[in-house]
Amino acid sequence: MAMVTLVGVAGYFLSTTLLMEHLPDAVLVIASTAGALLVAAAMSGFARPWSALRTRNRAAIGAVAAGAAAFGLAPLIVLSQRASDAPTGTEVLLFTTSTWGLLVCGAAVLFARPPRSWSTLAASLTCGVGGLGVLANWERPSSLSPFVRFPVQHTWMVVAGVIFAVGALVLVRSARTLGPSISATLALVGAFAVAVSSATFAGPVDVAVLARTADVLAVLAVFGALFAVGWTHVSARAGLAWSSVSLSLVPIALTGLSFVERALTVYGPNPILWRPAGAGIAVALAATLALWTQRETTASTEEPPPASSQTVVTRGLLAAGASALLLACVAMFTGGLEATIAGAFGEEYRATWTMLGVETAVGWLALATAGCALGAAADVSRGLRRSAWAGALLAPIVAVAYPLLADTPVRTATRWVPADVQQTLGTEYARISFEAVADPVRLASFVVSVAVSFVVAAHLVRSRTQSGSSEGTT
Amino acid sequence: MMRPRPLVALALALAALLVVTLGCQRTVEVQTGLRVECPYGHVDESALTTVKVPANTAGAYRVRTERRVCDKHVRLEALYAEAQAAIAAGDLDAARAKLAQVTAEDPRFRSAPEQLQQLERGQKPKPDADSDTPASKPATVAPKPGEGDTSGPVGSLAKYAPDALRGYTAEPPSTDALSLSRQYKPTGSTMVLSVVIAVEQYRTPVEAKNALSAVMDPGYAQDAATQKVGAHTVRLGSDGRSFAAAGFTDGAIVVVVEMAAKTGVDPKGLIDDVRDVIEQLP
Repeated sequence: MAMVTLVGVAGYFLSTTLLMEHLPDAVLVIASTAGALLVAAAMSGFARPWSALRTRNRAAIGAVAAGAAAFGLAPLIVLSQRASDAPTGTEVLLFTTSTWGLLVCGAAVLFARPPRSWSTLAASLTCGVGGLGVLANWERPSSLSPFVRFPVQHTWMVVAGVIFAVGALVLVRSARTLGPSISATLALVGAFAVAVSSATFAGPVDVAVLARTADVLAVLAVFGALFAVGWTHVSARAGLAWSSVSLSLVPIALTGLSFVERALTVYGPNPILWRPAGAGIAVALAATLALWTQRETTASTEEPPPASSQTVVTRGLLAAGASALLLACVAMFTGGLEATIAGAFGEEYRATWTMLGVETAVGWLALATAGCALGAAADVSRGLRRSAWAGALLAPIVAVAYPLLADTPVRTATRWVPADVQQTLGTEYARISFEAVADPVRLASFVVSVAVSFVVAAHLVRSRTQSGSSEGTT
Repeated sequence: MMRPRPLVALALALAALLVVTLGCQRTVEVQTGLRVECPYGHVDESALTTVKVPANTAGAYRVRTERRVCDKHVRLEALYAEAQAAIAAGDLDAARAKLAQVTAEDPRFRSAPEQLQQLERGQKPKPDADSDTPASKPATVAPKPGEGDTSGPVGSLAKYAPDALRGYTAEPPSTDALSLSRQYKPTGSTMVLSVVIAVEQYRTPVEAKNALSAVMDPGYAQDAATQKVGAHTVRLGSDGRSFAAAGFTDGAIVVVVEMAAKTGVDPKGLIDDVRDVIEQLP
């Protein structure tokens, strides 16, 4: 079901990209929510949702409000900030899929009572970082430059993500009370109402354009249904952490489409840098696997470990994991890449500067690795063995991607390189190149993270052996 | 057990640090100066300098490119023309000597290698009829009037390359952010082919002194001398072939006067002329 939702989100992105230049934003949201409402109603019928709403059931009202926010308001905000290629496709994907996935998972972990596994949050971050590595290697020079050329649009997309995450939190609680089918219908009633209301502010619709794009609108409605209905069902059954994967994996899915196109057709040059992009895909898929293993994990289902292991080993692991995270945070502000620009259409421009870790894929990779190690250490201290295993195995896998993503920048454009130079980058007039900087702080963070993850794994094996032998003696 | 609050605090601290760090000015290394593309295939980037500047000013620095015959090939063109004249006059020993000089510095210079081979086989080569129309002529891009904009920081260097020098007419200056150069042509009959004054700003007087040594020591070691000229302690010398030069530092500024001798003139004889130019500078 999560894969169905993933297809829905990816198709929603592609359909809206095709239509947004031709039709008002409100029409697109009306089409997608109407299609989704029809499917949801077909699954739940109208009587039960109406009954829940008429009795002023708190969960029902919550579902309507959540749907209005998540499937109505948030997409409208995103569409209002998009133009044909401004922000670019990579930036829109980063801020409306990977970022939203992390926000949803973060909200799910932080607002869960008792707090859920920290490895889950680390795995979600890792999935997002994998997507970041993929998007940053869609072409070189990359069109990805967060908060440089379109900071206002990017900020609004993050705001829309927060709105979506809040809506998703409320909706999942409602779905666990009323059932996913009823909640989905109520949510989509709210979303449809927002979309129709927004249409009153939109300009007149050209009927000829509407007729010409009717087939794509129908496709949008189908993908909208897969997204909204699938999301509600997945998050109700497997939790928001798992459903967030259907957002985080969209860059990987679209890259896969490009791969299929490359394999089956004879179109022109493929700009994707497959080696580093492949590393990003592997990181995202490994994180997805880690999230899959935790999709039904709750703190209450696992027994706490013996008190002695919490005081001696796990405190040391927590301290070491926190050190790794601290080092990764410091490495965000140390050198990550050396960038060199040369050329221009007119007088030549030559500049060299050091990019910080925060502007590079490896900076974020170090943060994700340290997050996994610390998450594993935190989870093992709480007796969340499965989560601890996931974090402990994920950290070294992510660290292996380091050399493959070592020269990947996540920001190409700057505010100070002259515009005429930036416009001609990648042409015969100007070029930009990046060279990895071996930063000892970042390397130390990777080493400590991997060491922590190995010790966590060893501790888990030993504690399991001890519990097995003690069971044998009794 | 970890609780959400420390994690949220860490995320907020990281975000705040990100905003502060990315908002701060970073340092960028930019190149500035003149790059000469010689039609003989030689690219001279010796006049380029790399400076570290705050990012917000880094966009103002550019590398100017001039397509003209470089100093080395100007010299070789002159030698080559003399060799052709010697061949035409039947002075094959002189022609061989000059062609040998040419090929020593550029083994593929025009027809020099073929002519030298012929001379060494005892044959008389046919003079190159185009030796007076060097490749520099069509390719030279002279600065247009107004191109040498000496306003801005470089304006403080302009006084060392004045509009008027006794016995010379000034060309428009070529300027970059931290350097300026200006060519002068002699007005009357003289042994001097041309004069170039190069002025460059450095960070410290020590760096300026080092830069002056880097120009004078390897390039003008013949007839080297240090003399007091006006308020400056001036280093003089020649390259023993066709150039004489004099240079001094004024604080963190380096001023070098280079004088090209006409063909056949010993550059040692130009040292007094260079000193005369230095005396006219502030």
